[in-house]
Amino acid sequence: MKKTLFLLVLFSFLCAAAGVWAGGQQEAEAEGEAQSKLIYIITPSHDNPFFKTEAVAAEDEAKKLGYQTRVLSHDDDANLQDQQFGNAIAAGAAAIICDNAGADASIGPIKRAKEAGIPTFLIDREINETGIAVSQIVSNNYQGAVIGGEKFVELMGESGKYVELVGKESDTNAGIRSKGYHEVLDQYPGLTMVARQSANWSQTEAYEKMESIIQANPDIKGVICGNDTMAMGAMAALNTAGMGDVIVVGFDGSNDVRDSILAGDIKATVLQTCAYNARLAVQQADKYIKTGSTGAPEKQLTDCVLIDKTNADKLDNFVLSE
Amino acid sequence: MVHKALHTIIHIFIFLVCLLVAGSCTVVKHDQQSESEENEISIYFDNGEFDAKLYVESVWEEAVIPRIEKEAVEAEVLFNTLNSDPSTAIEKYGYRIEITAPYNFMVKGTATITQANVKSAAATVSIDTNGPDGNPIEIQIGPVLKGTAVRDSMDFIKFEDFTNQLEFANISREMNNRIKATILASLKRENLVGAKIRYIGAFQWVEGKGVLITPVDLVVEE
Repeated sequence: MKKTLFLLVLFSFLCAAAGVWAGGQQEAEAEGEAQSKLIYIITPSHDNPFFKTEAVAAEDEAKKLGYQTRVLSHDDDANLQDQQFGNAIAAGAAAIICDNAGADASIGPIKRAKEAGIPTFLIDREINETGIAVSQIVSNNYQGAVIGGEKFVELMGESGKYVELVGKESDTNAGIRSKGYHEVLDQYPGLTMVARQSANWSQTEAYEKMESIIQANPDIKGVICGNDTMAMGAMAALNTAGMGDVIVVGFDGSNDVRDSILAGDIKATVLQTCAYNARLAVQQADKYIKTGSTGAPEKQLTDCVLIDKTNADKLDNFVLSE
Repeated sequence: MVHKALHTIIHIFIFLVCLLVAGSCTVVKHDQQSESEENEISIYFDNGEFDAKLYVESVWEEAVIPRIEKEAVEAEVLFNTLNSDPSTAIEKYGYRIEITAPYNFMVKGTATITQANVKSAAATVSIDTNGPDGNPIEIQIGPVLKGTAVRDSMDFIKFEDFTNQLEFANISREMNNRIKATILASLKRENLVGAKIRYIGAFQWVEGKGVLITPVDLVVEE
C-alpha cells in the first residue's frame, strides 16, 4: 500500500514535471517567431484587486504598444516565481514586468533573466540589489503609512486606545507599513496600543481577530490596518458589535473601502497608484527594448495619496481622477 | 517474475528521471525574517547596516545647511510669485526628487507670530504672512515634525543611492530629530504670540493646501 502511494506521488510529480517541460517547449516554439514581442507580467495573486489592477493595467498598456502578453501569478511563492522566470527565459520574452515575491529571493531569477538578455522591470515592491533590474518603480509604502498614520492621529484627537492589524509578516510591505504607522503613532504619548495582531491581509481573519479583540477591549477608539481587506473585516466586526463609530483606517485605496468611506464607516485609506506604476513600467520597457535605455534612474519612488471623505468619490479602480 | 522485473525497471526509470528533474531545478529560499522580540515588527531588509544618524551628521553642516542658505528665497518674493504665477515659481525656485512627487521650496524671512498652535504634539506657529491658499503660513515647532521637506529639498540625496525606502525614510527622520534637538528644544514656548522671528527652512507645496515650513533655524528676536 505504502509503495503504491509512493509510486503514485512520484508518478504525479513526474507528470507535473513533464507538463512544465512540455509547456515550456510549446511556449518557446509558439513564441519563437515573435520573440521580441512577448512581455511576461508576473504579480502576486489576483484575488487581491490591487494586484489584479496592476496586472490588467500592464497588460493593457503592453497591448496598446503592440506586444503580446503572458500574465502569471506567483502567489507570493518564490519557487513558483523562479519557474515563471524560467519559462519567460525559455520563451525568449522581450521583457518581464514583475511585482516580486521577495526582496532577496527575487534577486536570483532576475539575474538569470538578465544573463539571458531579458530585462526585468519591477513594480510596487523593491529588491535589495541594484544593477540587475532595469527599473524599480517602487510604491512609497513608508510615506503612505506616514500620511495614513497622521490622519489616524488626527481622527483620534491624539489620544485613546487603538488596535493595529498587521499584514502577512513575510511580506515586505506589511513590515514597512507597520513601521511607518509607528513612526508617527509612537510620538504621541496619549495613544495606547492595546492589541497588535497579524490578520495576514485577510478579510475573514481580520473579522475573527477583531471579534475577540473587542471582547477583551470594549473601550477601543480606533483600528489602524495594514491594508484595505483587513480594514473591511475589522469594520464589519465592529458594526456587528454595535461599535460602528470606532475609527478604522486602511491602506491600498480599493473600491470596497471607497464605498465604505462614502457610507461613513471606514474613515480613510492610502492610495497606491498601482495602475499608473504598471503602465509606467511597460512604457519604460518599450523604450528600453527600442532604444536600450529608459531615460529614467533605476529606482523610482512614487508617492501615495490619502483618501478620505473629501476625495473618495473621485477614486475608481486605484485611479484618482483630477 | 515479469511483474517484478517490470517494477524494477520502473523504479530505475523513476530514479533516473528524478535525478534529471532534481538537477534541473533550483531550490529557492524564501526571504528570511529576522528574529524579533515580541510585539516587534520584523522587517528583513531593515538590517541596521545603514546608520542614518551618522549619515545626517556627515552632511548636515557641510551640505544641507549651505544648500538651504544658498537657495532659500525671501518669503515675500517666493509667496508673491507662487500666488501670481505658480509655474514660474516652480521653475525658478522649486525642486522635486521624482516626477510624481510634490515640489519643495526653500524659504527664509522675518515675521511676527500671530498664533501658537501648541495643543497638538505636532505644534506650529502661524505667522503674519499668507500662503497661496490665503491662510497664514505655519512653521513647525515640534515635538512631532511632519513631512520630509528638508530631505526632499536636497539635490544630492537621491533615492537610487540607498538600498531601499526604509533607509531613505530614516534619513528624513534623523534630519527631523536633529532639528528638534538642536533648534526646537531650546525654543521658549511661552508668550510666542506677538514675538518677532527670523526663520529659514523648507516646505513641500501642494496646490490648494496650506504651507507648513520645517525650519532648519528659528530665532526669536528680542
